[in-house]
Amino acid sequence: MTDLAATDAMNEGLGLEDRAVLKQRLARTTRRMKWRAFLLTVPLLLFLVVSFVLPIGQMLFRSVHNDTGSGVLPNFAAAIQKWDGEGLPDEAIIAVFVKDIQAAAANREIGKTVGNLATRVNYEIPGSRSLFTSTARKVKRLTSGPYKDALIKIDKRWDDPDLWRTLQRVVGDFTAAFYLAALDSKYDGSGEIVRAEELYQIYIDNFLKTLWLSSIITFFCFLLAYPVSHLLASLPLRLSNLLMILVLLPFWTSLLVRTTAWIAILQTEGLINDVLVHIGIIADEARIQMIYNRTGTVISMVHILLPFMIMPLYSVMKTIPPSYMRAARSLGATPLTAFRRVYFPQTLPGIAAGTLLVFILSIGFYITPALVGGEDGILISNLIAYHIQRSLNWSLGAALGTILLLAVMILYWVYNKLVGVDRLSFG
Amino acid sequence: MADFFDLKKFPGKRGLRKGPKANLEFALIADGVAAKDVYKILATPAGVDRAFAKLDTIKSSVVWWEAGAQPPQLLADGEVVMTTAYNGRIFNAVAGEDKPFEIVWDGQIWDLDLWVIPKNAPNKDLAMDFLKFSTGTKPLADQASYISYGPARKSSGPLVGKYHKKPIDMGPHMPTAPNNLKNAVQNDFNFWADNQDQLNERFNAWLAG
Repeated sequence: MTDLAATDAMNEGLGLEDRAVLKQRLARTTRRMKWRAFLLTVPLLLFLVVSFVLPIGQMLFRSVHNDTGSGVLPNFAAAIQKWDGEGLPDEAIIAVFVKDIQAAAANREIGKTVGNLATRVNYEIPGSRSLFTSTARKVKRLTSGPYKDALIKIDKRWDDPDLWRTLQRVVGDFTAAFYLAALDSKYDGSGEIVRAEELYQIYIDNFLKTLWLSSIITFFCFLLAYPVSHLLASLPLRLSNLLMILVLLPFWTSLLVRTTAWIAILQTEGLINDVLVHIGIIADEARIQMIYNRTGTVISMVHILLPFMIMPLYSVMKTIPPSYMRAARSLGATPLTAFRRVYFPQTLPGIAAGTLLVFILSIGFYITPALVGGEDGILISNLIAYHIQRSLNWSLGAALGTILLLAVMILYWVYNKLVGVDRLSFG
Repeated sequence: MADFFDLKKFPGKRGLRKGPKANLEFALIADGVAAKDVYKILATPAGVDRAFAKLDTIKSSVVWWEAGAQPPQLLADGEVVMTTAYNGRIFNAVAGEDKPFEIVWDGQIWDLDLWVIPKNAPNKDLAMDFLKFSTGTKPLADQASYISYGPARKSSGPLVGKYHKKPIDMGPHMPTAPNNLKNAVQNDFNFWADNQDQLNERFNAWLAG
C-alpha cells in the first residue's frame, strides 16, 4: 500500500507545469544535438560554397556582365544613352567621349585603361584595337573643340555611325554579346543579331561534336565493360579479386601517364605502327594515323573512363543471384531469352549509372583531348580553356561554360525522366 | 620559303606552330609576296583568304606544335622533315646536341623583346639599374654567346663573339646578321593586336574543318 501511495504522490508531484518544463528541456537537448550534427557538416558545406557555388555564380555573372566599357568611359556611358542612334552623336556627347579617353589614357589602373577598352571593342569590331590606342595617343593634346571633326581627322573610321552604335552597346554593363559569340552569332553594325560568317563558325559545331564523341565513348565503354563486369561478378572470389585489381590498377594511375602511354602506342612512329610495318601488313610510308585526331581521343578516353562503367555494373551484377538464370533455363528459356528477359533488366540500374557517369565525365573532358586530339579531336572544354588561358576573353569562356553546364543539366533531366535517378546504383 | 609549301619537291610532314601568327605571313611569302608587302596584303580580306588558301595546300601534311621545345624534338624523331621554329632552339640542338639540322633564313620573321617594370614595383631603382646594364652595347653582345638571338643594338653586332661551350662564331647565327636579314619580315605588333581575336577564331574553325 505504501508503495502505491508513493507512486501516486510522485504522479501528483509531476504537475502540468513540470511536464511542460520536461518537454522544453527535451526539445532543447534535441535541438542542441541537431546543431552539433549540423556543425559537423559545416566544413563540407563551406567547402562546397567556396569551391562550387561561388565559382559557378561568378561564371554565370561574368558571362553576361562586362563593365570594361563603363569603367573606362564613365561619363560617356551616361551621356550616350540619350543618343537615338541616327547619324553621328552630337558634339556634346563626343566632347564627353574625348574627355573620358584623355582621362583613361592617363589611367594605369588595371581594367580601366584604353587598352582594356580597345580589347573589349575589338571583340565586337575585329581590327579596331589600334584605332582606340592610337586615337588615345593623339587626343592627348586636344584641349578645345570641335571634337567631332578632330576625331575624324585623326581617323576617318570615327565618321562611321556603326562604330558609335557599337560603343553605345559596349558601355552597357550587361550584354548578350558573349552568348551570341558562343553560338556563332553577333550583332551587326546596326545592332541586329546575325549569324557569324561561315569561315568564323566554330562553337556550335564543336558542341555537337562534343556530344557526338561523348556518345560514342559511352557506347564503347558499355560494350567493353558489360562482359568484364559479368565475369567479375560470376568468377570465384579469389579470381575475381585478382581481376578487380587489374581493373583498378589503371584507375589508380595518373591520367597524364595513361594518356602519354597511348601516345607512345598509337603515334605514327609508335608501337602498333612499328609492329604492323615489321610484320609487313603495312608499308613504311603508309603508317596509320591513329592519334592527334578523333580516333586518338576516342581510344584513350574509352580506356580512361572504362572503370567508371565497370564499377556500377559490377556492383549491380553482384547482387543478382545466379539461381535466377538457372530458374529461367529450367523453365524452358533459351540462353538468349533468359539473358534478355531475366538478367539484362536487372542490370539496368547499373547501366544507367555507368552511362550517366561516363557521358557527363566525357562531355567535360579536357587534358586527354588536348594531348591526343590534334586539331580534329578537341572538345568544347579545350575551347573554353583556350579563352581562359590564351585569348583571355573570360566572358566568352564563361558563356561557353554556362551553355555546357546547361546542356548537362538538360541531359540529366531527360535522363531522369527516362530512367529515374532513384534507380541509379553507383555501387 | 616556297620549298616549305612544295610537297612534291620535298615530300614529308611539316611542323607549324598551332596558331595563325607567323603562319599567315609565311604562307604569303611562299605565295610570292615580297617581305615588305606582307602586312599590307594581310590587312585585306583577300590577302587573308590567299594566306589560308596557301596553308590549305599543305594542311594534310602538317604536325602542329605548341611549345618551343617541340620543333627540334619533332625533327629529331623524324616526325617532320621541315618545321618552323624559334632559331635559338634549333641552334641549341645543333651546337649543344650535334643534331644535323640546318636553318633556312629566307622569309624569317623577327620580333623584339621588351622589358617591363610593373608600376609600384618595390625595387624600381634596382630594376632601372639592371635595364641600363642589360641593354648596354657590351652586355647585349655577350648575351649572344649563350643563345643565338640577336642583340637589339646595332652597335653590338660587331662585338658578338663565340658560343660559350664551343669555338663557334655566333655572328652568322644571329637573325640580325646581314645575310640572314635579306628577305626578313618584322612582326607587326599593331596588326596582330588588332586582328588576332578574329584570325584566331578563323584559324580554329579552319583547323577543325
